[in-house]
Amino acid sequence: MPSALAAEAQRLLDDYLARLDRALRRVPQSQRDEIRVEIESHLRGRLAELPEPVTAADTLDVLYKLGEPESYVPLYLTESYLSQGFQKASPPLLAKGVGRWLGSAALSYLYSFPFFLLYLVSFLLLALGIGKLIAPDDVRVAYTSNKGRNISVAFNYPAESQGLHPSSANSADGDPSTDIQGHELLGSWAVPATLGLGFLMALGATVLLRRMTRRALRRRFED
Amino acid sequence: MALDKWIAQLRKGLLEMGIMLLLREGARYGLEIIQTLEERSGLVITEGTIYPLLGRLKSEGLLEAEWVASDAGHPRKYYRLSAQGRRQLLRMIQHWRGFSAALDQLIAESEEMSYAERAGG
Repeated sequence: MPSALAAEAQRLLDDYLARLDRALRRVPQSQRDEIRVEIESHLRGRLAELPEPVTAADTLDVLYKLGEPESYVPLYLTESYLSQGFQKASPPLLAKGVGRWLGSAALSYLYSFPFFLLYLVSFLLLALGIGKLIAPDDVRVAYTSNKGRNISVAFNYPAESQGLHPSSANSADGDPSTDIQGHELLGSWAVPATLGLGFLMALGATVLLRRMTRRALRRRFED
Repeated sequence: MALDKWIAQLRKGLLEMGIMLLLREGARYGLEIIQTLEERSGLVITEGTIYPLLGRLKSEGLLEAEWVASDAGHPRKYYRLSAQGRRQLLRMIQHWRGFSAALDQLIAESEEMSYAERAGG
């Protein structure tokens, strides 16, 4: 007899099984159904031991002990690829197993790349803002239209400012002797705008990074 | 924290042998294996990891599995040790006894040494 579940408990169970189905999509079709039935049988067995009607808290406890489907379903893949690879001494299968195992590590590097970019851009914006604040005449963004159109960011250091040798970060022609002239794009609004935007981007990246790290840590500890 | 990690690694490594030892006694289904291991060995941490492990032992030919309809309304997958699994388990037990005896000896010797050092110094 299936045990009687409170409405909330039934919803939790259904949600969990839906998540299991999603996680199982990457498992070969031949194994998928058996795994699904076995896990569901485990859950029903656990719930059947509890006093009826089974509450949401009890159900959560049972689900928590079993673990998140996303954390254990990938083990089916790793385990089966590795063991098949060893048994048949098949390099492609072994590589697939090792790949799955390394996958989570590689993925974290991939995830960190956007954060690296975000921090880089926010750092540049802050540098521009602070530079403009300290030396308004030496830090400028200029728009030139003579040799093709390009926008250049220039930081003129005091030592160079006599010879007017600007270092241009975005100069298309690459001729170092070309002076950055042309229309100055940064007005007095540039200081608060670049500082504000740079600060917001750095803050946003930090908040996001912390949230993701916390999630990853929680997952690791549940393994 | 480091100790927790070490214990977790140790459990993980011994889980396979724990499962095979239980199944030497007779066929059992997943939840039964988990509950018995919990009661008798304390080896299980996250229950979900047991099922992929059972799947691998089966695909390696160490276990055999069979679906059985139950009164509870949901079918159960019963695992038993195969002949190959039985032979493998005997070898595992032999190795375990060897390791365990050697480690016990090492512990005893190192304890003696540290006592002697303390008494001498």
